[in-house]
Parts: sequence; C-alpha cells; structure tokens
Amino acid sequence: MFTRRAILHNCLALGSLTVASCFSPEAMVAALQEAEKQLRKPTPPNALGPFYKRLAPTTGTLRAPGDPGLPLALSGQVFDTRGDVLSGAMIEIWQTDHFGLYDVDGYRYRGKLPSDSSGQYKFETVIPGHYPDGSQLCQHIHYLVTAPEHKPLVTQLYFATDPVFEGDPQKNYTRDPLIKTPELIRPVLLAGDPQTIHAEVRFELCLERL
Amino acid sequence: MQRLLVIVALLALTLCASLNSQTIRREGAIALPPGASVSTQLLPKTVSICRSGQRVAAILSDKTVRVWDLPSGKVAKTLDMKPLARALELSDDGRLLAVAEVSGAVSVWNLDSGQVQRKLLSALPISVLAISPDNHLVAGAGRLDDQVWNLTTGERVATVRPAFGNSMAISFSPDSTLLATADADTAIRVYDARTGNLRSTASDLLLESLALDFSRDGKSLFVGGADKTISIVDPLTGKVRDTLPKQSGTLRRLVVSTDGEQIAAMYNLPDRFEEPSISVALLWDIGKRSVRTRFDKPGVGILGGAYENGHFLLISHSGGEFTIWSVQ
Repeated sequence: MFTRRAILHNCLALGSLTVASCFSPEAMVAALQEAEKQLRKPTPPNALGPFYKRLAPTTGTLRAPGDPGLPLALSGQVFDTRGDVLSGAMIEIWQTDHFGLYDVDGYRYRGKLPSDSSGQYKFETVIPGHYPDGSQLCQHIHYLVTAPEHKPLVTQLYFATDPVFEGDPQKNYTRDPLIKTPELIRPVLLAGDPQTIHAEVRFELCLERL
Repeated sequence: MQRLLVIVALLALTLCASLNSQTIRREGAIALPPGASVSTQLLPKTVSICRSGQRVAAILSDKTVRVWDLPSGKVAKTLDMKPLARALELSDDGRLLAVAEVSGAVSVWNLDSGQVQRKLLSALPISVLAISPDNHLVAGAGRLDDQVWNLTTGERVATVRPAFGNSMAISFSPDSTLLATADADTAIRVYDARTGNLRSTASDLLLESLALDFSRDGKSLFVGGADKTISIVDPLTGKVRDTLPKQSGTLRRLVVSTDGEQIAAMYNLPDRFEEPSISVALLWDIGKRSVRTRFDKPGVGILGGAYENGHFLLISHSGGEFTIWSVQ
C-alpha cells in the first residue's frame, strides 16, 4: 500500500501536483499532509464492565472452527485526534458468545492485538448474542485501547443490524440505556456466499493525547 | 432394616427442614407507593441499608427518595427528587443520607433534622457513594474518578482514579482513615481517605470485583465479583491472603458481620451475569470457610442487608413491596 506521502511525490513527478513556492517541494508536501489531517473526534467512551478479564491472550483469532453464530471479521484503524495513525496501540476486545454468555472461567472471545504500522487491526470472531436474561441491552463488543502518551479508551461497538434498533439505529439507539450516541453503532456488511457467509464490520478508533 | 433406615432418613430430613425454617424468619414488609418501583441495576446504586440495620433508603420511580425505619417499615423521610436521583447511601448509623443527582451534585441530608447538611459538587454524575463511619467524609465514584469530600468544610480532599474504567464499589475502613475501591481494571486499591495517597494495590485478581467491605478490625478487606469468589485481601500490602470456595453466580454485594466472623454475600443465578435482580444470599462462616445458611426464594430479588444483633437483616423485593427477613 502506498503512503500518502509517496502518492503526493508521484503526483509531483507526474505533474498532477505542482508547487509554486519558494519553499522546497519536500517542505510543501509535508505542509500539505499536515493541512489534510482532519482533526478527529475522539471515539466516545462506553461502560467497561463488569466482565473485563486481565491477561487476555495476544491473538486476533477468537472464533474456533464450528463455533455457533455468524462469523465476523472485525477491523479498523487507530488514530489520534490530530489524525495521525497510531501503530502499536494495544486493542483488547471481549464479548459474549453467540448465546450471550461471557467466559469468565477461561478466555473464549477475549483477545488483544497491537495495531500494525498503518494503525490497522483485525479480529476474527462471531457476532455476539444478546444476554439471555431478556434485557434491552444490545449485542456489543467491549474495547480497551491503550497507547503510550494517550488516554486509555474504554468503549463498546454495537451493530446496526441489532433487532433492538428495528433497522433505524439513529432513531432507536436510546432503547439500550447504555448507548449515549449512535456513533458507536456500526453498519454490517454481509460477504461470502450462502455457504460461507460472514459479516464484516469496521470500527475506527481515535484516542486522545494525554 | 431398610424400613428403619428410611424412617431415620425421613426424621433427619424433617429435622433439617425444621432447623432451616428457624434460621430464616420474615420480620415485616414495606409497601411501596402504588406504581412505584426500584431499579436493581448494578450501578448506579439505588438502595442502601445502613450498617446498623435501622434504616433502608431507596430511589423510587415516582421521583422520590424514601427512607424507612426498620423493622417497623415506617416512613422516616420522603424527598421529592426532580429529576430522578441517581445514587444514594446511608451512613452506618442511619443518620446521614447522601443522594447523588444527575447533575453531579451530591446532597447530604441530616435525617435527624430533616435538612440538607452539605451540598457537594462533582463535574460528572456519581454512581456509588460511601460515608465514613465517623460521618466526616463522603466519597463518590463516577465514570472517570473517585472523589472524597470533607463534610464539615465541604472541600474536596482527594481525587483518585483507576488505570482505566471506573470504580464499581467503594468502602471506608471502620476507623475512617482508609478508602478502598474495587476498580474496573480488576485492581483493589486502598488510599489514605484524607489525602488520596495510594497505600496499597491488590493486582492479583483477574476479574472485576463488584463489592467490598472491611473486617470490623480493619485488618482485612473482603472482595468479590465476577470471579464468583470472596477474596480476603490485606489492606496494607494488597496481598490476597485467602479465597473462599467459588460459587456458581456472580457476587454482587457483601456485608461483614459486626463480630467479623460472618459474611453475607449476595449472588446472581448462574449464567445470569446481567440480570439485575440478586437471587441468592449465603451466610459464610469465615473461620470454617463454609456456608452456614442459604437464602433463595423464587421470584424474590435481594436488595441487600445488614447485621443486627448477630442476625443478618435482609431486604428483598417482589410484587411492589420490600420484605424484611432475619437470617441466622
């Protein structure tokens, strides 16, 4: 994958970008990149507990072959509020299984990974179930994201397809008392074929500097 | 011979049933106002029973906070709260009531005079409160940090916070010098209550603790939660000294008896992590590490309890009323 910097230098070389300044093209490209950076809003926080478990394994594969539930490829990119990608941020997630149960005795559906050099992360899991007690709490995945010199982010990811939202999460998100903003509700992409159907969800994360 | 064995077994069963019925006694009931209910979510904490067992207070859905005397069930105070109060806590002696508002403010009521003794300010709403046994300090845990106020001056004397997440439970030591917090990052932290200086951290626990209480001599801290156990922690070193046998449900509340020999621990049913209603109470004999009495009644949710004269006073709710039980 080309970096933005490499693309801009290609543009310069091919003439699709011209510099008309007494400063060097190098300096102007750097200034352009800085100007392009959108100030990002930090990801809204959400409740942590009460089933966080320390010492989760370092793995992106939470789903075992044959596990019940719809397979989910969960990915995203980690930024800071200046728009810089954060590589090496530790992303830890935990969730219920397809039946809505947490594993508190072991580490099923718990894992952590560092973001890669371009801030990307990816987990293979399943869409979590609803709690079996009939509560209005939506399907969700817990996140704890930490990076040096940044405030830890504790939040949750929700699914736009959750039946609680009746197809309109913007309107119905308050049905879950823990959801304070629809920003945490992500669209679901169905992929594969009917035999290998799986869901894909992206959840970008933005940390605040200390 | 077989007939004799059957008769002996039946007699033994009858005796056991008789003993069990003597250990759990219904003391009385409190009828809630028509249509009013109480939230039993884990946080914010909306029901409080004072340690002396003389009063219970609750935030009701009719936008009132009510305080009842026990065991009479007589209403001692009704506060109109608009908007609805968020969390509350009675002092150990039942004379003070701290009420957290949605705005973040905490009002501390003197129930003897019926007046607000102090109004404390917090930037963020408080979910759980504690009042020091000497009635001089109030602590509140919010989404980001825990704060301690001096009730005499109204000043905030300490602000502490876990590495991430919030505190699920807080408790003062019996001599009011220490504040213990059960934190969402799974650590148990003990602070100097008047300065906020960290005294110890118990970081051996893997899962969050949801309840904690000091032994009456202040030398032990009992904690429990998602790990379904009760761990006994040294508050000065943070070391886990012992762990009581694991149960099948999440521990939600615990109370240590006045003599320090028993713990009443309240649990959810197995695999009902988020079910708001606590369903099982066990009275533990700490020395023997065994359960003395079990209280569970289908359809009855447990709100909490206190020890009084060697009995565990337990408050439950069902069908629009609170029921007071004596469990021994």
